[in-house]
Amino acid sequence: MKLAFVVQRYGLDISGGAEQHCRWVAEHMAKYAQVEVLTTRAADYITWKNNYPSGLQTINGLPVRRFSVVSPRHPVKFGRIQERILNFEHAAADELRWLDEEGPRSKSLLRYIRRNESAYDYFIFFSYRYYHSYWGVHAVPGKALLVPTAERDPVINLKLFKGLFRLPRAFIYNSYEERDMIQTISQNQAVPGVVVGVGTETPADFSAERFRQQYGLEGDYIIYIGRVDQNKGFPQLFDYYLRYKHETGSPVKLVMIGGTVLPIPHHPDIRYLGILPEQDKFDGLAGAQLLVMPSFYESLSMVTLEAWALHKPVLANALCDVLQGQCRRSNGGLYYRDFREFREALSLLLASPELRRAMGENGRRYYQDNYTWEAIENKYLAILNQLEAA
Amino acid sequence: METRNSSEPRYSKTYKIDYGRVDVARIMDQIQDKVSRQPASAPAEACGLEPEMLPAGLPPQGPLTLKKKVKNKLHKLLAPFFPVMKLIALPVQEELELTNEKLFQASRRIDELTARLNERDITKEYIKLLHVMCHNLVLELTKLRVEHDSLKSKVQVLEEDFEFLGKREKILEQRLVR
Repeated sequence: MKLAFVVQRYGLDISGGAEQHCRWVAEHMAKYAQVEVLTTRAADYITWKNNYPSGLQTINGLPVRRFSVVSPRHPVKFGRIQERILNFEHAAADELRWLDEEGPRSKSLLRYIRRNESAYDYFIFFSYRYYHSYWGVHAVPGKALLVPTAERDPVINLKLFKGLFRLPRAFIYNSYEERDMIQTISQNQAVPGVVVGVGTETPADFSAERFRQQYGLEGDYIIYIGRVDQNKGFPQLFDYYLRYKHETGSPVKLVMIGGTVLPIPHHPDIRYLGILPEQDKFDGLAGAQLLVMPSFYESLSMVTLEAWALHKPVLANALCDVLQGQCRRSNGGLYYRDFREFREALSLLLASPELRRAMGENGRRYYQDNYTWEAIENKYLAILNQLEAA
Repeated sequence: METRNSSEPRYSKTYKIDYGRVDVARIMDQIQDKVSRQPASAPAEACGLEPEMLPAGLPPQGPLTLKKKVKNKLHKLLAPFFPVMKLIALPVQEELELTNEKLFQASRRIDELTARLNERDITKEYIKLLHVMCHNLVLELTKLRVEHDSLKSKVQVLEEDFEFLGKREKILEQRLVR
């Protein structure tokens, strides 16, 4: 069986959720099938400027074909069109203009897919909202599997996606909430779909003590791992955390790992460490009392799974239905809708080591049952076999 | 069912948790129940999301703040005047929509013009390249012409040599025959 993984960007240095998700799945599926990656030359998701050389190269043993992006995205123009289509009445042509501007526009990639349809058994497209997935699925609907990585953001309601969601041969969803959202929007229940997600691996060796020594941390801390921006629940988390400390007098620290686009408040108990190596990330997670995940929009949240893999409970934003659903299914975390629930849930978790341990174990069990690579590979193989049999 | 209390006294009285079979939904019900019983009027308890902290697309959540209460009161007071206000605001709204439409069309026109400008720049670059190519062609043609002339003169010299050798050959033949 020959599989083509089609994604907007690809590379070892690209840390975007869907891109990393695609790379990991492609590398794991290479054990069972002949895998090729079709992608663009872009490295930057804001402009999609051509960065990598075009043509065939090998990354971690997988052949990767890169195609040029015709025109880079103009962020101001894109913002203007997006504002128009989200807030005002508009025509279908406006949505297609938005998609063109959203990019990455790579006509050579689409031409390659069309001309080489017979060379592959299935094309697995990642991220529904980009140009390559929309036109790629339209080019080879009978062989297209879509991994939508959809979040509950407003663009999913655009009319052009309703048609798209009825086209592919099958769907590979990240969560039950994502599946329900897409089915509600497009009524695509007839299209086969399976909830899979993505696996995660934890390093064999991680040490909380090493992390504390390296970064000079003392006392209990809660940890946030990920980008610091508005969609991820900032500056709300800063506000809640500082109010929590003010009202309860708790000495707990907030440690943050990841890039930021927002200013970090100057407070002795807020420790922003920036982007760290994977090993340090896991060391930091191992030493935390819990992981706090304030994001409004998540299609899965890999870091939540990593926390559960390390027996750590999670405190999540209930306004993100995926996070809330994951917490309820796993019994591995609490969630909050407003500050008062945040204060109660955090106080309860910090005050009760037994509850943290029990939730951590539940989370670990949920991770082992659903998100180890063995489980993920089996789910992919099952849907591929099901399609072959049909 | 094994039921134990939380380690901290304050929470042991409030929450009943079965640590052997933790049920998040049940714990959350207890938390929400406790929170709903707390008074929401004190400023410290007015903990709803500030609208600017929410990303676009999400409705504001949380209990009533003083600001919201004043807003509600004003809303009730002004309710009888709403039809008149709507009548006054309607032309402004229509004007706003019209202006917005015009602005959008203008933006589109600017985008088109920018695209055409880009195309013109590309054409300019092509013309420059064509100029360079023409110049190079003329240069090569001139070189070829010079080469052609020199070859032509070489051929003439060779023809003369050939003619001379022919004549010499005839003379030598005549002498040999005699």
